[in-house]
Amino acid sequence: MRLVVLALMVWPATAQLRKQEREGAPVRNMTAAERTQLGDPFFLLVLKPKPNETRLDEIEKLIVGRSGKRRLFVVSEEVMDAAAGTGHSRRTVTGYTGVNQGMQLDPNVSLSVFFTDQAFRLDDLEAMGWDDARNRYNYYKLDRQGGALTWKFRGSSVDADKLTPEQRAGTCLRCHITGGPVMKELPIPWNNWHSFRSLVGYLSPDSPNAWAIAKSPRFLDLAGAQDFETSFVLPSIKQFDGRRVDALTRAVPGGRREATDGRRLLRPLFETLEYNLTSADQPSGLHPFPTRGDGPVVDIQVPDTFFLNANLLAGGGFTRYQGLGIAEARQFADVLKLTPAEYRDTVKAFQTRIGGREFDANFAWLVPEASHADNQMADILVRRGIVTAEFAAAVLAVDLENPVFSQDRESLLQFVPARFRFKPRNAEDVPPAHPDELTTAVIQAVRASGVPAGSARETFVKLLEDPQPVQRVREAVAAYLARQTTSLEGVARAAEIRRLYRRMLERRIAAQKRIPDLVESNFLFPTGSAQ
Amino acid sequence: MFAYLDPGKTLKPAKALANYREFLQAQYRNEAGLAGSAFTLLEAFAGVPASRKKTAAVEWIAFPKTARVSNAEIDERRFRAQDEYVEWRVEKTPAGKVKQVTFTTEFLEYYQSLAMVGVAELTAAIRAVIPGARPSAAELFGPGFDAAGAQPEARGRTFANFSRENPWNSGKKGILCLGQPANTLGALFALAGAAAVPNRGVPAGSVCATMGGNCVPERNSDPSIAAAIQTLAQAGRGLCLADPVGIEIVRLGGIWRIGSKVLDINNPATNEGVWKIARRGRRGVLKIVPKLTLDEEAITTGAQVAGVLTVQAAVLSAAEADMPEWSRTGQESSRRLLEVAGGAGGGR
Repeated sequence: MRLVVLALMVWPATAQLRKQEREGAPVRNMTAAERTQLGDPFFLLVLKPKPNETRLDEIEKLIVGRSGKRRLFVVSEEVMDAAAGTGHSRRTVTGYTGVNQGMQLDPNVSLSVFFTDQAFRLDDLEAMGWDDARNRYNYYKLDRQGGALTWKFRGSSVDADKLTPEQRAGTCLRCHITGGPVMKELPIPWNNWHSFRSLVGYLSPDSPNAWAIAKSPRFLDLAGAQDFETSFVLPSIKQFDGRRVDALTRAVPGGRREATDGRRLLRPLFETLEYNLTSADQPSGLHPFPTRGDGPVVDIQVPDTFFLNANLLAGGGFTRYQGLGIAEARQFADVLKLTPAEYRDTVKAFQTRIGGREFDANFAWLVPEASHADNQMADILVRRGIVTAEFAAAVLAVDLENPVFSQDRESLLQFVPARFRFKPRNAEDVPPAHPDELTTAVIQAVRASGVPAGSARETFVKLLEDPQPVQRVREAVAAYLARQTTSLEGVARAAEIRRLYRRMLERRIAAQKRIPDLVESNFLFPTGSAQ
Repeated sequence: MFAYLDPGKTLKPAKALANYREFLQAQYRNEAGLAGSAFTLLEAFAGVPASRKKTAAVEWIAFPKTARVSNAEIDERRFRAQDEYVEWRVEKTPAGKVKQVTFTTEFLEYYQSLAMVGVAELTAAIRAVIPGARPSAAELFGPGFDAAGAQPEARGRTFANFSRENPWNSGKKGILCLGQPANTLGALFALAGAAAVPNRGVPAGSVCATMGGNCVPERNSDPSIAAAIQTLAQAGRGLCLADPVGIEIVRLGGIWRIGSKVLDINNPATNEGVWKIARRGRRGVLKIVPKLTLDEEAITTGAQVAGVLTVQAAVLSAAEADMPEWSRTGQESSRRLLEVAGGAGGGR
């Protein structure tokens, strides 16, 4: 406790707001002209009036003002490990609610600080803020790079989606791929987050094994990941994606709008730019922390989004997408229910390890799914009439069984024209007619390129040419559902479970390759041997 | 009997508070008698110093996670879909635009207590909730029922049985209280009581799945409540639902704007009357003013708003060592408990 108090006391005020392009790059003062381009709440409330402020308590006082409130969230790939004094740290993400000086705090400003069982690491603090006028996130970091403890502006979300991996290296955008907030384990049960599904006992001051730091006032504001998801991440991404769409379209005569960079605008529909991690709702019972059990105590229900992009196909649910109305996609939630013995035996048969230990993640069947950031963007495209529901359905139907990291789907983006026009649509307007200008252009482009039999192009173009693509995709989903259900019956069941488990392992590997920096330790993804 | 509070403040003037307290006492008595459960009576906390008692707020989102239908259908299918101890009524303009969404978390027993006193008392209480309401006896009790001449219990029972057809509650003319079959006072107590049986074989966050019909893991509410209570029970704390019992509307999330102006929706001093919480959190009314948006979209359904609405239930607890012997786990059939509970014994 004493260490915590000391750490929260006075830190030297030695720096002005500086700028640093990436880790290890030179640190320099920001010019007055550069500072005029910063308009997010973190800058306006903290760094503009007090660029030297490095004390967390004082920073938070400046953020919340007289009426704002703080909400603290905790995440770590080892969050279930209660062992104190190991040197391992946990991450807090802090959000703020209310209004200060006319600025809406939630969900527009957040801090991230690491802590151990004894203290917050106040020399390594990250902040992000949403500039509502400029439609961008700004990123800041407090650290000792360049000498003294100083705040640095570390870049913004502007054009983040265009960057190459090399350009992202050492920047905040190596993880924030499109530039917006990231909460990998976004859906319930929020594997690796403190939540009502995983109450982290050592963060509760009443717990017999409570960490010393849990008794600090900051932890009185501890909240569950469910709150972070709903109150912060979902509205943030919706706002951000909406503004991205605005920026990539413009008004043209005749009450229409034009996509000014068609491929960039539609990329989230075709490509996996980001991913989220979902899982069964049930604990694996095989996680090494706090102590490994003997397997799950109830049946393991594999999530529907493992099988297909159910969130976008069906709509509704926690993300509240309009979706494509293919409700059958949700029935995949009931397709694969493994008995505790089946799950335990499969995990062991694949020699599954996490962080080199036996066996599994906290929650069973942890697997990358199509990200909310990408899906939200795709949903906005449909809602606003930029693409028809028929067009979106045709895209998702290509490689339907691979909702993430599909090379087939990605290969089709090339056929989207650089510019195209559409009739903007409000929420209650009649949907645009199929085929629209975009669809017609894409059909022509695909046909012009040649359509090999059995190819992704063929699937795509045939659906686009069909008068009722959504109905065709609904039928394809129903056929897939029937096929998958049948394959899990009788003597074939064990082999099919192994095939699906292997597919899950492959997706984890693909995710690591796609965004390596999102993997903060080898305790994120359980790995397994090929079977 | 414990002096349970009146969250809506319409029971005492109508002399209905005693009826309401009887309903609550029966629930407490039942769960306090559940074998092996840390759930106990509120009376057990009377002698515990304030510094040794804690009230934990268990929060969840009002959006019905189990509903696999569109937001519009969730609105329309209130008595089937809205199962998170929160229900709502959507009012629309003749053009079909949403103009108001009214949320309620009140239990049926509240109004049933009033109905037991009399039609006039019930009507007055309804007017306090729905200004200008002029319900007829037939609307409240069904056609042909002699409400004035009936015995109190029969009047209360008839009111309760007709509550989903009563237009002042069904949504046709208004909404008073919860009506979805899972959103009952009994279900909340049964959930709390069963969750208070320590089960060290599973993590507290997963206890819901082991509780059979008392807890639905797919919901937002049930597993949240179960996990919080199980954590307390496993830590050796005696507990019960705090007074006033019920579900409290806490706040709206999301980004609210009128045109381009950001609205601090949860601040009644500055939110321009758009969002009002009343009756100690049992009722919330959202008025849709021109150009109001949530997360940059117009309000087209109540479910859309439910998706950002946080509600909570409060759980009172203290270390069992600080509580009277009769209230501790394992003493569920003690004579003293039965005396305090004032009934013939509980347990399920």
